Parts: sequence; C-alpha cells; structure tokens
Amino acid sequence: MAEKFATMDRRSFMRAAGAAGTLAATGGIAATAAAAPGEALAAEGEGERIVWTHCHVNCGGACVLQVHMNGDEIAYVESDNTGDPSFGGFQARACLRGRSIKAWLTGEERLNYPMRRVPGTRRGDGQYERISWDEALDTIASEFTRIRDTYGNEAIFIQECSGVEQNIMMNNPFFRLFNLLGGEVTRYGSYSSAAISFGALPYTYGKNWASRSFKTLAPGELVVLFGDAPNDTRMGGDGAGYDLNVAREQKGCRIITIDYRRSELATNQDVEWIPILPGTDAALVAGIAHELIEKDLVDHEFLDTYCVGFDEATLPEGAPANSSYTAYVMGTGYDRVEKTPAWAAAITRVPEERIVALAHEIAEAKPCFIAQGWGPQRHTNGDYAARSIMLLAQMVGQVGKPHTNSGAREGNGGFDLPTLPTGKNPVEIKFPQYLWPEAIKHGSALTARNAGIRGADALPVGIKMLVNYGNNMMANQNGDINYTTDILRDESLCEFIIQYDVNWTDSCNWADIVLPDLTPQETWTLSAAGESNDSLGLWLGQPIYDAPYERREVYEVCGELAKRLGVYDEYSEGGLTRRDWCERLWNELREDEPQIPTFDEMLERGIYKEDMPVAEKTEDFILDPVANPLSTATGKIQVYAPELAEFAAEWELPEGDVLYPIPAYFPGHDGPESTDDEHPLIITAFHTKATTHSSYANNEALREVAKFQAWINPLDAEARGIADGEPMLLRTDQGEMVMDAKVTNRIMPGVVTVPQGAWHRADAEGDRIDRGGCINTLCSRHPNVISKGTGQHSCVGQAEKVEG
Amino acid sequence: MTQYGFYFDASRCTGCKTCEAACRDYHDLREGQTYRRVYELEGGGWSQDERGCWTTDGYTYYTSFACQHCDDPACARVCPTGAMAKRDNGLVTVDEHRCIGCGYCAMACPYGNPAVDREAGHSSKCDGCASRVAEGKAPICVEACSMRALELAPVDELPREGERAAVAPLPDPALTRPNLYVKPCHASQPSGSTACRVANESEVR
Amino acid sequence: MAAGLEHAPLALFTTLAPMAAASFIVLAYVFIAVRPDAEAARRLDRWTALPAVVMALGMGAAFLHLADPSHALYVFTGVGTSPLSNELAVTVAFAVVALAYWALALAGKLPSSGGARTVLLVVLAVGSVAQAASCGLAYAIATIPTWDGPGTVLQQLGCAWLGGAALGAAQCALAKVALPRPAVLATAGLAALGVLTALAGAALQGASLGTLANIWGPASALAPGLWQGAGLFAACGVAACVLVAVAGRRGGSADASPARVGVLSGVPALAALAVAAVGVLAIRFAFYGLYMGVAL
Repeated sequence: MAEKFATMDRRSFMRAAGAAGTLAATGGIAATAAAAPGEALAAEGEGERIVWTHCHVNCGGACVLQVHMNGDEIAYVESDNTGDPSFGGFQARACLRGRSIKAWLTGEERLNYPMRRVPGTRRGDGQYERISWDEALDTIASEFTRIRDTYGNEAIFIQECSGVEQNIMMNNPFFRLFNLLGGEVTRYGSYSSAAISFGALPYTYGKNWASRSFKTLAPGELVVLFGDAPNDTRMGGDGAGYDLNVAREQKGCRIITIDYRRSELATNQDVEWIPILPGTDAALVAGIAHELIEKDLVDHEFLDTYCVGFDEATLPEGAPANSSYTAYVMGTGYDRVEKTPAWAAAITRVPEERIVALAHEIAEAKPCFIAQGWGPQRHTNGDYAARSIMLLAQMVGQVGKPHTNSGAREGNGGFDLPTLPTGKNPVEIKFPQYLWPEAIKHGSALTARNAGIRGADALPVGIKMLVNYGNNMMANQNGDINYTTDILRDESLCEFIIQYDVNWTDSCNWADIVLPDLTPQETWTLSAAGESNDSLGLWLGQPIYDAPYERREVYEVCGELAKRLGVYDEYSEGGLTRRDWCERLWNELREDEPQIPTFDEMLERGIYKEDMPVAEKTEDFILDPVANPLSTATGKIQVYAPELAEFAAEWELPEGDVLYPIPAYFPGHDGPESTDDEHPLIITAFHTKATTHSSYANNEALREVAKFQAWINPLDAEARGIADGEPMLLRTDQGEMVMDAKVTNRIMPGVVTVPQGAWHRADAEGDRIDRGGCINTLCSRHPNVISKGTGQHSCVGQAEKVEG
Repeated sequence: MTQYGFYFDASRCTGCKTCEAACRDYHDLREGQTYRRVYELEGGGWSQDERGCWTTDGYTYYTSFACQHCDDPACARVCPTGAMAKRDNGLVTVDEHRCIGCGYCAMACPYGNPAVDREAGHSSKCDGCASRVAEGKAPICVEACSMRALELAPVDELPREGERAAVAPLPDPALTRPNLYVKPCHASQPSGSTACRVANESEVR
Repeated sequence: MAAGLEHAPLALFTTLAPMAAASFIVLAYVFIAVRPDAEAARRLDRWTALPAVVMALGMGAAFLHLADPSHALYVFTGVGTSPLSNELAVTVAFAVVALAYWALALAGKLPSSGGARTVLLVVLAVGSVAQAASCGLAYAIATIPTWDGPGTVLQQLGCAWLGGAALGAAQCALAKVALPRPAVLATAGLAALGVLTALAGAALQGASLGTLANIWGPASALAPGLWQGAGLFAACGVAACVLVAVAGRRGGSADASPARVGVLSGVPALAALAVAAVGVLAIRFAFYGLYMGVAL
C-alpha cells in the first residue's frame, strides 16, 4: 500500500546534511557495532541455530527478527538486540506482530499447494482442488497469452502487494515478466495515502517536501498532530512512535493530538487529546485561521514570500476575486460564510474556547511541528483535509525551517536500496488504484475527466486478467466488499484471476488459480529500514528452513512462467536466482555506500546499522524561493492551486462533490454531516496493534493478546443496550457485520471505530452478514474528489445489540 | 541475598503488548496461557455543552506486569509442597518435580500470575526468565519492549524514579512487598482506586 | 454460585471428608451413652464402612483435583507453614486413626463399650472438629479477603456437624440400632447446631462483603450467590434435622426386631443423609463462588 513516501531519502539527506556543514563525506556517520552472530550462536544450546530475517508487512517498519531454530522447528523469536539498548538508542525491535510470527508461519490457513477453482463452480463458491505446479503455470501462461491476444496488454493488471512491501522483490517479478511481453495497465495512488500523496501534495508543494522525522524536534517544542497515531501503527523500536516518545521525555516536547479517538499516543504519555468529529479537520483549520487572521497572528512575511492565494494580494493570475483562503475564512468567499471559531465548533464539536486557545498556542510556539497521519486524508474529503493541515503550518510560517514540518506526515529516510528492476512498461495508461473494481466493470467508460485516467482519454478496455500477489484486496481491504465481489463473480467481466499468497484469505475464494507463496522468512530477502522513520539499517534475511510442501517464491515462479512464455533469459539475466539478486542489489548499493559491509559479511551478520545524524536544515526554497522554486504550477507553496481550478472547470464530478482550488471544508460523501435517523453514527476505522492491514489477522497468538473489537462510547452503547465485550451489529447502506464491542471513553460520542484488517467472513450467497468484522463490508466506493483515492473512512450507519 | 526486581516506566508504555507477545512466544505458551498481562485502565467521562461540543475528563493508562517476585510471596506462603519458593536471586519459581498442581498459589497470588497447567501437571508462572538472567541476558519481555519501559535488575540497581508498585489495578504493596517498581504516568491511579475500570477485560481475564 | 463450579472437586472434598469425620461424634455418643450390646456393636462396626467410604470419596476428589498427584507426599513438608498442608495432614491423621479404630473393631479387638473403644472414639470425635476447622483455616488467605474471616471456619464446622449427624444417623439405622430418645435428640441437635453454626458463618461472611471491592467490582455483587447457597442449605438442613428425628423416633418407638428398626428408620435416615449432603454441597459451592482476589 505504501509507495515510497520518503521525504528525505538517503541521497537527499546526504546532500542536505552536507549543505548544513555537519557532515564531511561519510566521515560523520558512526557505524554502530552489531554483535557478531557467532557470539550468539555460541551461547545457544546444542542443535539450536539463529537465522536472521525480518518482519515484513506494510506498517512502514521492517523490524529485525532473529529466529531461533531447533532443526526445522522454530523455538522462539528474538529481535534486534545489537547496539545501544537504552531509551533513544537505535534497535529495530519488532513489535508484537513480528514477535508472534511462529504461530503465523505454522497457521492452519497456510497455502501449501497450487489450487484451482473446481470446474463448474462459480467464483465465491469456495470450492477448490489441488493441481500440480505445471498445470497451474501452464494455465496462467495460456490465459495470459489468450487475454493479451484478445484484448491487448491494457487488459492485464497487477494489483499492489501490500503483504510483502518493503524489500527488493515485492511483486516486481510480475512487472518484470509482463513488461517483457508488452506490459500492462498500471495504477497510481494507494490505499495508504492516495489523497495526500496524489490529491494534496502535488498541488501544494509539488511533491512531498520539507517533512521531517520526530528525531528533528527541538527541546520544548510544541507538536500538533492531526489523526496521527504512530504508537498504534509504527510500533517498532526504531519507529516514529518511539522517536516521538523519546522526544517527549528527553526534550520535554509538548504534544497535542487532534483525533476522534484516544490513540496510544495519548494514553500513558502525557499528551493532550482534543477530540474532533472525523472528517472535519478542514473546518477546525478554518476556525483557527479566523482567529489568526482576526488577531493578526498569521506570518505575513512567510505567506507573502512563499505562498500563493492565502489572501487576495497573492492570488495567481487568472484567479477570480474573493477566491483566496482569507476571503473564504472571513466571509467574502464563495459561500459568504464567516468561518468563526463558533462556526468551526458546531461542525467539529471542539469547544469554541479550545479552538481559540489552540490558535494562540500554535501562533506563539516557535518552532512548532505540525503533522498529520493518513487518517484524515482517507475520507471522501481527504484531499482538502490534508491540504488544510498543511496550510495551518504555512499560516504560522512553520514550514521548511529547522525543527518544523510541512504539515504533511512526519518524514522518514534511510538507505536508498534499489529493488528488482522491472524494465520498461510499454503501456503508459494508469488509473486511480481505488477504482480497480470500476475498471473491471465499466472499462472504457472510465475517462480522464470522470475517473482520473492518465495516459489516455479513457481506458481502452476493462481489466480482463487480474494478478493478486501478496494482497487481500478482493474480499477484504477494498471498500464495499459486497459490491466488489458482485463484480468479481461475473466471469464475463474479469476473465482470469490469480491469487498468490501465503494464507487462504477470503480473497482466494474469488480467484481461478490460487498459488502458495513463501513468507519472507522462508526465502531470501533484503530490506532497508527507514520507511517510517529516519533509520539507517539494512537487513538481509535468509530462509529459516527448506520450503515445506509445494510453496514457491514469486521470482522463481515468474521465471517458470517466463520459460513458458519464451522470455526466461531476459527475465533472469542468464539464470540469476533470488539470492543472486540480493547480492547484486547489495553490491549496487555498496557502490554508493562503500562503508557498508560486503555481501559475504552480511551473510554472517544479518544486519547492518549506522547512526543517523539529525538534519537541522532550512530548505533551499526557503533560502531563495526564486532560485529554487518548488515544482508546483506557480513554483510556490499553493494555498490556491491553479491546477485545481482547471480541474474544477473540466472534470465531471459525482453528484454532491465539489472541487475548490483552496483547502476549504466540505463534508464529503457519507461524511460528518450525512448522519440522519437511519444512520445516526459515524462509523470509521483505525489501524490496530494486532495486525498490519489484514496481514497477521488470522494469527491466534495475536488475537488473544489484542482483540478485534469495535470501539463505541458508553453513551452510545448504553442507549442501545450494548455491553463491553459483547457482540453488536453494525449496519450501513453497503452491508452489515457483527463484531464485539469495546465500550470505552476513548472514542467520542456519536462515532464508532473498527480496527481495520480483520478477515471478512460471510456467506456470499446468503445473508452476507460479515461475522469476521471487516470494516470494508460497511464502506462505500465513493472516492475522494481530487485523487480519486479511497474515502473508506467516511461512512455512516447504525449499531445494534445482538442477542445471544 | 540479591533480590532481582522488575521496573516499569508507566510514562513510556504505549500499551503495545509486545512484552506479553514475546513472553508467550519465548515460553511457548499455549492459547489461554500468559505470564504477563497488560491491563488497560480508564476513567472519567464526557460532557456536552449547549452547542453540542464535547469535552472529556477521561484518561486511559496501561500497566504491564508479570510476577513481582515478592519479598513475601502469597503463592509460596500457601504452597503445601514448597515447590513454589524464592531462589537465590530472589526470583520466585516453581519446582516442577515437587508441585502437585493444587492451584492454591493461583488463588492466593494477588497479581494473578501462577496458573495450573493441567497438561504439564504443575503450576506455571513467570520465572523472570531465570535461565536468561543466569546467562547475563535480560528477560525476553525486557528485551522486547520497544519503548524501554521494562527492566529487570537487582532492586538496588533499578532506576530511582520507581516506587514500589502502588498503582491500580495492583494491590497495596504492603500485602506481599512486590519487587515491582513503577514510575507512574500522569494518569496513574492509586492501588485500590475504584474510580477507574479495566477497559480490556476480555484480554486479561 | 455458578462461579464456584470450577472448584467442584474441592467442594466435594470439603463436604464429604468433614461429614465422614464428624459422624464419629454420633458414633462416640452411641457407644458411650447408649452402650449397644455386642451384636449391635458388631453391626455398627460393620457399617462403619459407610463413613469410611464417604471419607475415601472425599479424599479421592481432593486427589483428582491435583494436576500431578504423584508428588502428593511432598504435601507433608509444608506442615506448620502451609494451611493446606495442615488441612491435609490433619485429614490424613484422622483417617489413619479412624482406619486403625475400624480395623481393631472389625478384628474384635475392641470391647463393645468402654476401654480402648471409648478412648479412640473420643479422640476421633475431638479430631473431627480439628479436621473441619483445618479445612476452614485452609481458606484463611490474606489475599482473598472474601474468604479470610471467622465465617469460613464456622461454615466448615457447621457443615461437618449437619452432615456428620445425618451420616451417623444413617449408620445407626443401617446397623439396625434403635436409639433412645435422648440419643435421637442429641443427633438431631447436632444437626441443628450445624445448621445454625454454618448459617452464622455465612452471615458473618456475607456481612463482610459490603466493605470489600477489587478492580472488577464490589464483593457485594457476589452476595446473591451466597444467599442462594445458604438458603438451600438452610432448607435442606431443617429437613435433615426433621428426618434424623423421625428416623430415631421410628427406630426407637417400634420396640421391634432389628430388621424392623432398619426398615422403619433406614429410609428417613438415608433421606436425611441425602438432603444434608445436597445442602452442604450448595453452601460449599456458594463459598467457592465468593472467591475474590484482593486486587484482580
């Protein structure tokens, strides 16, 4: 789900640090001594060996695992215990998810053999039979050829591989293979960050820019976070949550979290929680802006120098009068409504006094670190929410300078490890990822104007071959499962579906061929730390045992397909193996980073770490905005984005959607103002500690430690007779599901939130009630306005007590 | 005698439960078994003003604990066979060759730590990872904690910020004199408080 | 009360063993006050199998409760320090003396009254009180405040006396020994004393709940289970007292052959035994249902 979101990749970091004069060549980097694995081995009992590998899902971390093996049995798992163990030190300690991998690797749902849907049954019937690898591969090769010859390469689509993100391989072998055979239609956007990465950042800063990690916080600094829960999502010992915790304690940073639920950031840690109704962040920012403008607390110099469209004077050419953000806030804008703190209070449910006080706190704090998680932008109005929070940082001039952030997500960076090259894709057509079911169903009806198709005016053809590798998209992680599976059931639409995974998820029940993969721990893998934080770490994973059953890893399997399709030599560059690619890509990195060990040394030590100096820099654009313009249309920070004004004139929007060039508040489809008698509750989702998306969600060892329970406020629970720990029914226009309730003060009244990732479990032909508790049974397909990405967090419905 | 004890920095804990997961993994515990629990306590409530805005005086905090290896362990006190006893380093462990599995330790321990493992035929509990400690390593929970909120060491070497555990849901430390030292967090309530409630009953009971 | 079900083996043990032990109070009274003839004594000795079986069932239940009974002998290393060791040691010592008494009696080594028989029976009668008290004291655990009070011992003593009286009456009836009126009154009186003592114990325990609470809630939430158990116990106890008296009166008034005594008193005596056992089990389960740790 996460495309590389690095704001400070290794190379740019080096440049930045060099510019600040803190680093001479590589001499400023102190290598951290890693314990030699040999020592650990000596301490272990006879017959026990340690295999270094890592946890490998899509949380943004990739924490080190030392798997203690007794023969082919896993004894137990240790994590990173090398280097400095003290609070503040760098150890990539795995969280409970990685620590519980033993039960997951041996789980009952593991796929062991290739399977095919029993001829004569329909997708969704769930009847499968074992076949040989040869038969499976022959079928895939012949279907690929048939579909390509019938519909063209544009009818073939490789879905993302969330379950195996963050290593050199991912699902690259499929791209590498298909690109040798004419290519495939591709996607842009992501389930993680579509609105912010594709609907907000390009039109604000041009790209993700000036975001900094929590390591860069200054002593005593005020940190204001919107919907950011790093202690829930990125829990590892070198994660963002850890860094923030260290800064809070060691630097005395004051932290405010603005969220609809009390995340783990605001439990034991002394962090202030301001409860806010989901989907109303832009209204809060407008209310704060009103106070800042009225009391003249905005940073005029910053806004005038670096930004366009905050007020009428800096509007870009061609922008109509009264289209600035100031006009919008002060009541002369398009809606003629003054966005007073009282106005914002009524929408956000944050008391007016708190909004006013917050405005003053933010204005007075220098420096101030303003950031957002990816929760606010995963709403149907997410593009606006994301841009508005960035604007808050811009209004007080806290962007691009030391100890500040862009207002987007906190930054990260690490070694710039190359991945398996995928070659050139001759097909340049892309569609927004969230719309893949629509791309199957409506095909060429999806256009550039109505669906954000890029590279063509419209899709030439619908998706006829769908390759799902390492994901659980079909019947779990995509919004509105009932709608989606209705599309998948119709074999005249998508004609051939592969599901290639490590576990039998419900998505397998919608595939024609199911292939058994190796987990990353069962094969060679090479990953870099730093996808969720500033961390210089490299992890080389070796197979913990010889692959049992008939599980096979993706590079080899695509090689077998390449043989059948006549491109094996090009595909494998003369027979390179997965291990060979680890070595080659390691050596490529080593050309840029000569200080790292040789590959042979890595085979022994498993991991390599360096301390990362903290960058305290001012961005080039801030130093000289004329010489170093941003990559936006105006070269400046865009409060008013002229590109969006163009889209507004050209695009065909779904009914109810609006497209503003400024980050105005609009409630969005199924948003906070969509509640009514039938749908009195806002139902949304959060990332739970027990899973990363749906990865590990079947691990009983984890489910016992951290239950899947939907949070509901005691006021809402009592009114419905719902008791803590007891099942409740959640209903929306899209579907129904039953899930245990957690009756807790940690969620604001009027909102129910569901830990996303639980496995969908419903009778596809029967009542369709999801008894697994998968939030996507309830979510709609309505995308957000600009990026056409997921608005899965916008949902309204009802909760009821379930008898029995 | 050296007395080892746990230290828990409540102000750092984020309730991630990695300590518990690592413990279950290392000791190969079956479903339903655990030597460490992370209690989630909450209190306070919500009020709405005339404009419909919400404020809360609520709080939530976690307390992670296993066996406290008490000075006066209730489990050993009632043990009829002497199987449950303090060892040289002050850790309270079960002598599996003596234990009859009568379950009195489980009933008596105010921290809910020992439990009879009928399959194994004896009581089982946190042993402070005695074998790891003997090798100079930290217990697995300590090594696992991402936030460095846990420590185990001779009690006189533990961080001075810790006080003998006297936070809810734990009992008055005068009862068994636990060797758990806690640095409370801003939300911690005193032992015996009934103002807060356990918010994750299904996870700890 | 349902919460006590997980402790079923312990409830069985603390019902059956003290009942068997306390039946020796009745036996001692009969041998000392009623002075049965040699033939009656022989029948009584034969029917001492009844308390022996009850005691064996009780100890068997305790044994089965253990996860690993093969280490059971280590229990005696805790005598003096562990209340549970004390309980088991007293019970085993009682059983050994009782077995010795029974073996000597069956072997004809004891006089039908007086002498060594009196000495042994007095020891066993007194010992039964110690046995019941030790069962109660085993639950005097400081970290379990709902159990840690005088009510626990009183309940155990009361249960022993009610059960022991019914069991003793049943033994006499089965042995076809007619009891004179004072003996009937004494037996029924022991049962009544048992009912009152146990109810007093339950009342004391119930009264203590009001001030107790742990993180899960107030102990008073457990009180309904106690009152249900105590109510059932009271009803069964009263019925058992009446049945013991009926059995004694019918056996004594008939002035008939031993066979007729057995028929007339046996049915109500066995009924008394059954209802007493049910009542005692009910209040024992209620007792275990009151388990509440000091904190968690």
